[in-house]
Amino acid sequence: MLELEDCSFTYPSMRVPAFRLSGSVRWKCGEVVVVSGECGSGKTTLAKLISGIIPLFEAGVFEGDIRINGKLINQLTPEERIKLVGCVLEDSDLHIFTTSVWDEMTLGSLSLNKDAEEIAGQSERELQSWQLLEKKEKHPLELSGGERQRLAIASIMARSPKIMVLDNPFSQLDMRNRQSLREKLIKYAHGGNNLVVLLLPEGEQADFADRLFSLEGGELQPFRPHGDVHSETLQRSRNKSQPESVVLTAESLEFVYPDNTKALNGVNLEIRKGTWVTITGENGSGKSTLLKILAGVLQPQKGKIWLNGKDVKGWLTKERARIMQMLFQDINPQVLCPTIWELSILPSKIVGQISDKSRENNLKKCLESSELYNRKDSDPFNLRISERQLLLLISLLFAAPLVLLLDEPFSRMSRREQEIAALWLNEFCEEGGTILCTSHGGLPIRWHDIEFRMVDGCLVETEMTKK
Amino acid sequence: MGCPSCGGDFRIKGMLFYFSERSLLRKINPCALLSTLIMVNLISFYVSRGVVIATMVLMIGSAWVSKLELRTWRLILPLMTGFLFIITIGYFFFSQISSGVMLWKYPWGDFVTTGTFIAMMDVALRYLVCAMATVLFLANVRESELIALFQSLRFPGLVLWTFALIFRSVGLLVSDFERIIEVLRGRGVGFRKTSLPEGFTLLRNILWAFMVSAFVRMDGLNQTLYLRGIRKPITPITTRKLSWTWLDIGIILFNLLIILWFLRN
Ligand SMILES: Nc1ncnc2c1ncn2[C@@H]1O[C@H](COP(=O)(O)OP(=O)(O)O)[C@@H](O)[C@H]1O
Ligand SMILES: [Mg+2]
Repeated sequence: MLELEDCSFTYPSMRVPAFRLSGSVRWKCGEVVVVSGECGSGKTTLAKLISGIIPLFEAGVFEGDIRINGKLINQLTPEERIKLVGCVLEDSDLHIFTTSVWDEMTLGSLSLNKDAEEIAGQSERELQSWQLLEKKEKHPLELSGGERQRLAIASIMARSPKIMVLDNPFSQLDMRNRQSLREKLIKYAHGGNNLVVLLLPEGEQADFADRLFSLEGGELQPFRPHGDVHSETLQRSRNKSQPESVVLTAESLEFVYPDNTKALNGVNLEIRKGTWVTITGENGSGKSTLLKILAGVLQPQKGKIWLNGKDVKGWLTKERARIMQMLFQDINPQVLCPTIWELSILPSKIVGQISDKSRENNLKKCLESSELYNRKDSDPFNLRISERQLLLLISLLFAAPLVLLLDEPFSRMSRREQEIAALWLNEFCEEGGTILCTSHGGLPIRWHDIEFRMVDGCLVETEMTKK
Repeated sequence: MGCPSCGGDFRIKGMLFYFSERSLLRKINPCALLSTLIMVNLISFYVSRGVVIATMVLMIGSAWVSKLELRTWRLILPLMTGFLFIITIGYFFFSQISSGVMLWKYPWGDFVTTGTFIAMMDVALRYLVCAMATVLFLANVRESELIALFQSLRFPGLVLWTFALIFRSVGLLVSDFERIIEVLRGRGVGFRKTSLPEGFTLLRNILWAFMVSAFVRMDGLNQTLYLRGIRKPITPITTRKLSWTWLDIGIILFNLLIILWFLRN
């Protein structure tokens, strides 16, 4: 059981509390509690407070009481506390510690005083149920984004903590995996008499919760439904002009990773100028792989790519990047500069774009509308992960390529951020730019003109394309 | 273990290289492999040239059976070349080997004879054998097996954890580094044709990104250990167990005998 009473927590660099609660809440075992809120409303802070990451690893001023099973948290040692609380944070990539899925899975159970056989048996069953068993000897960083997120959750749940806190655990999952995670969590709470606290972005399905709360500007309060703008899909109205020339063609692309995973199995693609194409597909179907190949990061074993009607074979990477830029799914390796400003102009600097006043003004406007401009000299790692994603998108737009490859660009963003980004991208399209973006589904934004589906390394057309 | 989508031959990412699970060397226990590595490194400087060459041939053979990719060798090529270069310089300019015909003398007193060349090749060959043995070893063991090995040898917890932290963070950092390079390539950085100032900015970006990712990783590491309830020197590190066969024990005994014999002489 978890009780919070008159709490507030303030980070050293901020004047207002990042999390605040007046009054008290009691969350009992056997419940699924959903706390929904915008990005930056204090969800991660709440997760860190419950799990003890604050104050163990992050400083700040905390006031109020948190009780776990009736005991004040400062009466518990860190070991006792973490035995009761399992926590999966949003940026779970940073919490990988081993070099194989199997070791990662067993890692959490090692401290539970079970013998090795028992842990091995249990881990095998768990991996099976998360559909990761056949990948058990892979390096965790070799998994696709959704597989990695499942692994992060599975490895903590295997410790069977009484309280399970999950920060935005659905962000990288496709529809099927979302549903199965929901069922797993409900079963874990109701069947095992445990408490599950889910911190979800606004607009994420939450009807399965036993209790609903919202976080607004750091304030925890009972749930209030918002306007129904959020439940429906944003649609773009576009006037289709006559067909344009083809910018990007791919022919029978095949790709096998060095560990012999066949990720692409003959992909054909043809994209016309000024269109927005979305590729949907389940986790691990090969979407990211396809984009990386188109961007020239991976070399396909078979197949050809044409850009603007020319075979890209033998091109310099720079020539290619002048035409095409890619936003990768993993955010952190893309943060290559010490300040926000430098990061936002880096891609255009690399391809040698001359920057003029009007373009720079445009960049400033973008940064301002996402509230990044006034922090332009600070470290990008101080930003939330969604803001980092937004910033990277801005930097790519500033490099003004003809084609943008975006790998799950909206997955980490809140509704508001998604809308901002979609507006920019729409503008980019209107000016003749071409977008190829991937999505594991479940996103409310459908501004694309054409949709493909990726199934086991092959592209298939969907209803929308045929129209 | 097979995987349906890859036709059965599943390759695994080891510490630095990919290796095939079907490789013959994988059938040998890491402990036996380690003892062989130590043995080869120790004796390669004492045995006659013929034996060294035989060892080399043997190793090329085992690289063949372990289906080691050529790519693997390419990775260590720069290191090896650098090493051979140092040896060459050392022998060429700073040695006094008096066998053979005197060729020329330097003002600082060192000289070169025909014997210098032979000695140089000899030493280079021996180092090459050591390097190859190390690569073969690294290419066929993964770090969790090494840790399991140390765990089964009952190393104290502190040593185990130090090993584990080093091995694993190096493994992760290497992967992070690869991902950074991927991103840079996507952004249009060609690593072949860059001018000097461009190269400089590039280097700065890589270093920065790498440092940050290392820093962020290390920061995450402590949290990870905490979140999984691990207390550093106390909790065991791996559930992996080594499998032993008579072949392994035979190999170890054989290596031990040779090592002892050489130490006595
Ligand atoms: N670096 C890698 N090494 C080996 N296998 C990989 C790597 N990256 C992805 N894979 C595998 O390739 C398949 C496709 O992955 P990916 O393209 O990332 O899928 P998606 O983006 O559609 O979720 C998955 O089975 C995944 O496990
Ligand atoms: Mg992906």
